[in-house]
Amino acid sequence: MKLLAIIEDTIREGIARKTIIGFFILSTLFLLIGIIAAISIDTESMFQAQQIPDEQGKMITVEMTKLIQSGIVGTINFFAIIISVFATASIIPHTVEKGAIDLLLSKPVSRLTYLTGKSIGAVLIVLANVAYFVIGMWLILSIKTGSWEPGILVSILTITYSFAVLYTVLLLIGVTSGSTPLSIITVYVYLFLINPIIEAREIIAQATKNDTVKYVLDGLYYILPKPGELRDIAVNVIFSRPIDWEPVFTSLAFGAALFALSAYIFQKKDF
Amino acid sequence: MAILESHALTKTYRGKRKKEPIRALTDFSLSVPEGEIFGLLGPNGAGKTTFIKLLLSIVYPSSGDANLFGSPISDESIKARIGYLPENHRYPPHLTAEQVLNYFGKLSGITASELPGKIDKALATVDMTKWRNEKIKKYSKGMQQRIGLAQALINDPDLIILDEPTDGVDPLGRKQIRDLLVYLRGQGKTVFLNSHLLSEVELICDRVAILNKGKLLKLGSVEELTQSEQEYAIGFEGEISESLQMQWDATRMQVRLEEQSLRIVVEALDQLNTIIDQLRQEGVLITSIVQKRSTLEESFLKVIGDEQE
Repeated sequence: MKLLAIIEDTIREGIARKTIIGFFILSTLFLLIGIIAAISIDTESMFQAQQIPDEQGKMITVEMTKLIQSGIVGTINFFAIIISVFATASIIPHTVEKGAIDLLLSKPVSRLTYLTGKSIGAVLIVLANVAYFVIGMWLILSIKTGSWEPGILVSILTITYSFAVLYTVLLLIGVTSGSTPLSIITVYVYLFLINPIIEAREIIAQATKNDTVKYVLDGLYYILPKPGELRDIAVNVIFSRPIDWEPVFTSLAFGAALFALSAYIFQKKDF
Repeated sequence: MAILESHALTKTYRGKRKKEPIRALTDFSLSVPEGEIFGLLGPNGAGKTTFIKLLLSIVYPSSGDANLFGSPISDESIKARIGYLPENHRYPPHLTAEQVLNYFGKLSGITASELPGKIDKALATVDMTKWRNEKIKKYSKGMQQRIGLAQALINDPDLIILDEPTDGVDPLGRKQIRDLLVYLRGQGKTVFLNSHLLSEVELICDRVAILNKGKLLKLGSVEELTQSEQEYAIGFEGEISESLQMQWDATRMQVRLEEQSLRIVVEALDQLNTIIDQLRQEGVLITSIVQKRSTLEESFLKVIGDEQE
């Protein structure tokens, strides 16, 4: 009951916040663009003009659908995470604000329950928004092509999972500093600077020909979350390729460690 | 039975950026029995809010300990019996009064079936039923304070801790809050009050503690604290001779003759008795002897002033 109340309040706060509404409006806008594109592109006429037989046309349609799905996943994975971080970064700083935290901590609820409830609430907000967009895109694409390939739907989970792992960074910075801008900057620095370096670690190691650089980058690769490789899982599902589960587990370990550290600091902190 | 007890409670905040540590509370021992309205007074930075935060585990003690309802303050479950109104509280602005009470009621452990009735009662108690569906962000400071009070009462607590409850409230609202606190005491509740408004504390508190720079300076009933040990008013009937008055003048005793009343300031009680004897010898009928009281504010300023000297 108490945990549910905290989750419910977090979602309510998210809805009240304009950034979440902005997220929803943006998704709706892209869905409308998708609908307009679907209406304006006539694939049947294209196939007839090329004199492609029906059977071959169906196969091409399936492959084309998968290709478009992977393109959508590749694009929205990055933007959805960026927007989600921006939209939810203030949840913890607002919680630990003077005047708000005093009230919460005066209730018979453990500090861990607050942290858990706020985190679940934030993840559910993102899950709802991502699901709305991805399911919408999937429906538009499927209705248009007649090919109901479900692979893209996995991206709802991979994007939300990537966000959930990165949210633990927001949690840690939020609990220690209470600063929304610092929380956002930290995650963006990781996404825009550190993550690309780690993804290009092999190229960098070859170019520098320095073992220390290689070991450091390899070490960071195994420790830090991997939103790019989590995205690839969804792409691999779309194309029915084998899946590498390692990024799931290493990202989980990172998220669990940061959550535990945040919970420890939150538990010990004077407000 | 003591509802609230602290033993040598001390809190030192670590200094930020190489600054010296701040001792907010030093060896603070206190016991508040059931059914009392207790006032904690002190200037800004005296350690009043820190003490409350320690009781509620919002901050942790550096040393010493405290109990609420006989259980250590680290016991989370005791908070179900406490209602708390912090100073400068901030409720989620997107919520209405009803939603605020619903949220904090759930956090207090009230069941879903009990909540609607308790919300109605709490809103009626603070006279906010009319605005139950308005968002908090539209409320005036006084209205926010009332909702804060309703929030503190939603779980029907045995101990109500209020930090500046009349802050921003108009005189009529203050009177209503005072009446409410007295009513709660009548219901057997214990009220722990932090307030700058000494006149209010004087009106409703049974006992008061004065705190300054983290140290307890004085503790006692309002009567004890406002008693002036040296000044008396003696009511009488009859005439006081000029010779007696001159005798007093000669001894430099502070005696002021008013209409059928003598105001005297004595250094010791035997001086008072001497004057009474002298009056009786002159055949003056003594009708009353009243020890003069100072206001709580005067006592407070004196205690703080003495400490600073």
